[in-house]
Amino acid sequence: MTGGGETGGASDGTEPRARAEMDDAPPFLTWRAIYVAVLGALAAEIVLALALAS
Amino acid sequence: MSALDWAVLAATLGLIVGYGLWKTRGPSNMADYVHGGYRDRWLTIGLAVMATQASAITFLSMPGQAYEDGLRFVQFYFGLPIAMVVLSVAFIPRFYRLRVLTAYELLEARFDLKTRQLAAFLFLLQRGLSAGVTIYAPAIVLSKVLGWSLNLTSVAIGAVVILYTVVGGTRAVNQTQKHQMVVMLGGMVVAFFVIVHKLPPDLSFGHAVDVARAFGKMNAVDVSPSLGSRYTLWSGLAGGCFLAMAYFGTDQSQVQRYLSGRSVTESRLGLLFNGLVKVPMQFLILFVGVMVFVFYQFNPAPLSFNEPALRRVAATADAPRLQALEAQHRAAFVHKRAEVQRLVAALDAGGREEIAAAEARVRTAAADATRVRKEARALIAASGRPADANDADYVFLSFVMANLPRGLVGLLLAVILCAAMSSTASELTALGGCTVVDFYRRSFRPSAPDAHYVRVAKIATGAWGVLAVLFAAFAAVVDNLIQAVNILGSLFYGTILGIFLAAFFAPRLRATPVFVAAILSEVVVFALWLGTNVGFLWFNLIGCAAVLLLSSVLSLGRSRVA
Repeated sequence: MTGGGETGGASDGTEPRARAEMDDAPPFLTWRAIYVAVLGALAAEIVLALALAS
Repeated sequence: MSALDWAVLAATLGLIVGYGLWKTRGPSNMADYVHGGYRDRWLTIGLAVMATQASAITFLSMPGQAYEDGLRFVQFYFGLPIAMVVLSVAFIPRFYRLRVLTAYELLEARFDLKTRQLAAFLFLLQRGLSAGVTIYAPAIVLSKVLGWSLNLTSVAIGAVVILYTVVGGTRAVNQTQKHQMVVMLGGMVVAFFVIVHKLPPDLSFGHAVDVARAFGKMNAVDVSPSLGSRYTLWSGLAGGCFLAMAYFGTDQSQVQRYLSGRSVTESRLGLLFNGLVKVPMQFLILFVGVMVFVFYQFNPAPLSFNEPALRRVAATADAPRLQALEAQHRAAFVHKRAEVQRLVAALDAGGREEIAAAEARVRTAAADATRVRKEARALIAASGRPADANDADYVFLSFVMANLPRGLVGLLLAVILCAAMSSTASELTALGGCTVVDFYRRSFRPSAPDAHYVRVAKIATGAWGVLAVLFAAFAAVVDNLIQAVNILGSLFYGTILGIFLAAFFAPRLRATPVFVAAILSEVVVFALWLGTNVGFLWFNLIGCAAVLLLSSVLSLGRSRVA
């Protein structure tokens, strides 16, 4: 851990954050489907931009 | 500005500032001050992340950039969605696992104190300078509206933002930004429809796009492989991806936005929402600028959109020359408008050869009008303030003031000012938080009560605000504000990102080689900036690659010596 033991909430006197949800599934779809949707939207936008430019 | 505009402006700002102050009651420890108590949901995070990036510069400078240069700036954002996916997969879980307050704390866990503080120092340097530009941008707006000097206006805006930021903490900033972002997006959508409505009634939307294309303004994608070209598909995807990874992954003003989430899931979804919405939003803002350009093909534009500069020249011995240029400008406009109308007629008729011929005539007429504008710029530059010659940052504001209906002018001014306040607030809280967490608490006073650190963080935030106002006095020397901010970021982000990627993905690399490589890579990036014409987006990739490569070579040397 970092020097001085000063990272995050515990050393600040606050409650440590609940980290049980570290590997939570998203509330909709799956992570992989969400990543594909974000990158697919980018691909569609580039195709649209190419069409506008020509 | 009308009384209605003033009322709309005052009510919008008053409500948002009041809401922010109400939400800022008593952050009592550093976790509260920096991360707002870890309570935010993904939509709040996503909108806050977008509002932090979308400063007043976005709304002032980008439409002007599109007016001058077309849509090609949108390529700058193509790498962003890729970066959001990478950060969601690789960065966020690591930040959460170590429960860091600032991103740079993680570097001490992986390397050592000097590497952490080098990255934090580079952040403070570039973000401190950028904060000056983000205060200067809205100062342009208010100085034009109020007739104040730019410096006085910068001080006035800075004072309001410092007060708002010092009193508030991250939670207030996030909550306020959520509403500001909705107002900003709504304001630009309304502006877009008003501009399209103001185009000639016999001009279809499709033909408006065709007119913009004839002037080369629909150049949304450039596939040329030139390294010297500032915005291409490749520099946008590669350089833009690295810039976005560095900005969102290592810039504390963004890291503290999404680490305020109540879980990894909320933080991830917030960033991915940004990845989904960002490119369309920037396209809309640029397209507004293109439609303003089309509007001015049918309506007379001022000789320079920086009208105070024109008035200043008119009061000098150059007034007769200015009048002559005004006359040439009017004649060039009448000729160009006639050619544009012939182009529209040719588009209606549909003959390919006629359209090509009409486009060629439009370009000739446009070249004539551009020559007159260049002469006017030279005249303004010769009048003693060279920076006033570039009027791109005034285009949208000038259009709004002259052409939008009453009430809407006030709303759009409120949008610009809200954007300025929200992004500056994020920057100042990050600068203050980083100063305390990474330097003051770590190296000077490690075991004081938490309330002491909150007090010092507020003082540091205020001090950075004062410095930002001082830097704002020098922002007028840059040509285009949004480019200036991005160039400034690109000079440092590649190196900082390289340090983080070494920490995450190169387990054999040790602290000292990475530290030395980071310094050398900054030297390389600055040498390229000063000595070559390589497009600035590439600095992000080059700086990052230099850190990884040089630290590997240095590690190899060390292991051989050993």
